[in-house]
Amino acid sequence: MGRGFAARLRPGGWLPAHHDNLIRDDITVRLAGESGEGVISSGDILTTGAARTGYWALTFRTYPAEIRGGPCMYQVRMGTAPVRTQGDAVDLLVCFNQEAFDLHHHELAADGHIVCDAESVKVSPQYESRASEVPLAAIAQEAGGNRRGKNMVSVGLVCGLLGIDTVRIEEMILKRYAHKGDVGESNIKSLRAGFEHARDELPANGHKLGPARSLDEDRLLVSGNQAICLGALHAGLGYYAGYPITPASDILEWLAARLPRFGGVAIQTEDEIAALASVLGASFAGRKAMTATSGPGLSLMAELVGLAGMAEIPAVIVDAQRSGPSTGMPTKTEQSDLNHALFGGHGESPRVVMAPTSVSDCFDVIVEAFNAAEKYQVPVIVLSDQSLSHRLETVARPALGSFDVDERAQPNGQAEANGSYNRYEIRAGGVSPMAVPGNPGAYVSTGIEHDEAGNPHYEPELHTAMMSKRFRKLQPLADHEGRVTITGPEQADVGILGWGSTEGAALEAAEICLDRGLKVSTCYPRVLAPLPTERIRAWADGMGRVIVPELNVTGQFARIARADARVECESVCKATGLPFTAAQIADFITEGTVPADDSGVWLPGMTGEARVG
Amino acid sequence: MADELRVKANTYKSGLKPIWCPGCGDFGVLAAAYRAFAELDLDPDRTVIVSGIGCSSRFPGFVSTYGFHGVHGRALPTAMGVKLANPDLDVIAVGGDGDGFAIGGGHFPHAARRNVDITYIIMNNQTYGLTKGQVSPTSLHEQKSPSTPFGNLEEPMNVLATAIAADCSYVAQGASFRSKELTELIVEGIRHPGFSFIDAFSPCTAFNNTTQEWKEAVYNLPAEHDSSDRAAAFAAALSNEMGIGIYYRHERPTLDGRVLEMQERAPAGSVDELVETFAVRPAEPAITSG
Repeated sequence: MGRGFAARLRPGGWLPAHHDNLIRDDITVRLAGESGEGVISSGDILTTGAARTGYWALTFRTYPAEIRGGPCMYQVRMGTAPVRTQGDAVDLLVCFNQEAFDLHHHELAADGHIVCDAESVKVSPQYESRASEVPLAAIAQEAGGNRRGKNMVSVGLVCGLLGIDTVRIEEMILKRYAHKGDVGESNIKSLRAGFEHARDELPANGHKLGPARSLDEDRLLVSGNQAICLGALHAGLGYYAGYPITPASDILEWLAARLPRFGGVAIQTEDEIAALASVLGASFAGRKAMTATSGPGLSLMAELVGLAGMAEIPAVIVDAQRSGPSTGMPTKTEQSDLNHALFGGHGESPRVVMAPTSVSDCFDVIVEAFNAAEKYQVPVIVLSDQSLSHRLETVARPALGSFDVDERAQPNGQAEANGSYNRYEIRAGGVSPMAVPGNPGAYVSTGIEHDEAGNPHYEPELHTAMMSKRFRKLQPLADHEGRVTITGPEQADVGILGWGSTEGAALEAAEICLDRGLKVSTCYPRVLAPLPTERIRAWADGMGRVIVPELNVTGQFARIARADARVECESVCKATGLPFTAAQIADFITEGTVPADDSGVWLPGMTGEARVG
Repeated sequence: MADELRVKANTYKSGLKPIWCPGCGDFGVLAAAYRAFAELDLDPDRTVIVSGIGCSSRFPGFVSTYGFHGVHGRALPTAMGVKLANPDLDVIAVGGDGDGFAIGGGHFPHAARRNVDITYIIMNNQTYGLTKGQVSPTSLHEQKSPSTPFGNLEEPMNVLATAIAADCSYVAQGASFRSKELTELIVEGIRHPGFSFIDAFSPCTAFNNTTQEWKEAVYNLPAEHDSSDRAAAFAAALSNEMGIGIYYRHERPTLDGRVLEMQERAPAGSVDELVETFAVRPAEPAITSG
């Protein structure tokens, strides 16, 4: 999977002409320029084109929080086999302006290459041998009659350099501009001019991407937020409410356009409190209901999460985490809402917390979240993050039929008919059948402590019994139902214990470590509350040492692993706003050092055996 | 009231005894609600009463319909979720002036402009009863309370004018001690297709006993008041703060109605088809521009 670490260490530079082409299993391309300049659309076209040509792809974007202006970049890693991270270093950097070069050249791989706009970029002397200056706009003007076609020229250049057939991209362009006269033709001319320029004018000895393999698998190109939407619809979503917030807004937008086709509706509420309040109302009334937000919104929802736990109302709450605290860095990623998801709110309210580890896992986890919510009548917080929300990833098409969908238990009709129905009846498993308005069984759903009928009562014995009921019902999730993925040998030198979006980097880090002579196993529970402590401890028993990589400052999950699963572990924290690379985790494991991250500042975990870089 | 209606009204009692203080206005509002439900013959299994937190928010527990006793200030968005999830239900939200206009005040104009078909009854006692007598957004200037020991420095909110400004499609005011009129206002509010707001004077005998004062102060809105005229409604709301009756009423499309229309217009969806829109499909032959 992916190229080995060794490939990255080859002496590089812009190789002499007699050198054979280096055929790579995967290549990382970064396009950088000013926001609004077309960087994102170029990246989307390149990515979609590569995916349609049969490559696996995974994108990574940074962009400013402001609407206009500011630097942005679009990175796509393309491979002949599945790719799980954004790539450790940039193999091909396309710079649309000087700032793009200044900001990104230091992330170039040792043997990477730069293509830059000849009109606006002057590369520093030490990069001259690895850079090609190309008059992007002039080529576009000559080929397509429009200087604005320089984005398409750049896509053509990338394809020409890497050896990607442009036929699929041309097809997309034609379709996209089908009703815009000759715009499509003009774009295709620019694309081809870029491709030909790369072929005829640029050194022919750069890295090429290996041929796309035969396509025996049906794939999608989808973002994490889109996968969440698809999974929610499969699970039977009927009501969605949300308040605009980066990076969750497109869930609201996507569902607003499609939920009515399923007899449902997506409402933009006046705030996140109203969003979750209306979700609980809709769920109480019998619909499967969801909201999605980011950290600040989850903060506002805290009181209602407690109500959902107390009144035992199913609800799914997606938190697409972003860098905090407060407004923080709204367009950057972080895994810093774990504590809030696990413990946020007053009193002790039962909730389930889940975390998807990849774009395809977003689909699986959201279905599991709805199932847990309905089966156990509990709020389920799903911790995604910005890096998953907005990256595009090629994934195997989910086999919808293989995902079971659970429904909540409803009373059988007898008890309601004779008036003996008790909404909060204490049963062994803790789950009580939930009557739905419109049917017999009228009761009051309430956040006040209550007896089995739902009437307010404060007796010590009753409160004890009800607290026990509300927590007891979740135990199966910890015992056996909650999914845990474990890879690698049962006895390994190092175990990587993690949660959420770091899994891709952990899996690739394990391969890098194997190249370096270390056996590494990974363990990624999807359910973080209730935590499958027994299974995690059993796994950890076979590990020489355990490390916990997290995108936060304080090592939130490591603390839980130590306290609840009683696993001795080392915390590896990064809070730069950017995801881990595989090399960063591997270097920590094999070198024992925290490598410097050029993109920002490495911060040590502040608990346990934190390491300072 | 006809005996038959009285018997019918009693069937809406849950059997749980209200926890309110003797003489509390909320008893009167509850009784008027029972009678209104009887008059409308509401089906308890198809009726949901949603509330927040406060003395008056314990209301759903005393009614034999479905109820949702949620968190402080959030009755309206919760009620909207119930109604949009199942528009066949009759949804009634209840609460106090603090619940509705202080902590929950941000939701009121949105419920009104959306015109979701729910009925909202505020039991207005111009105080925080449950927390023992602090001022509320409707408390009068100079009102003394535990939180305003030198008298209230703030001015009260005109909730009727606020509702009319938000284009609330049914704005009425009643009083717990004017049972017949209040029953009628609730009946009309539930019948009204849209967001109906009923501000009910409901004195707190424990912490702000205005019973006698209010009994003397309230009066029926003048017969010539034109409730279909928004400007006249504003004028009445500004000059007749103690008036009882319907200040403003007009019919316009409801959010739940528009949602239903949108759902009916939308072609039936299939998850498989949506998944297909993301398919990469590299195997199919390419179309070239030639």
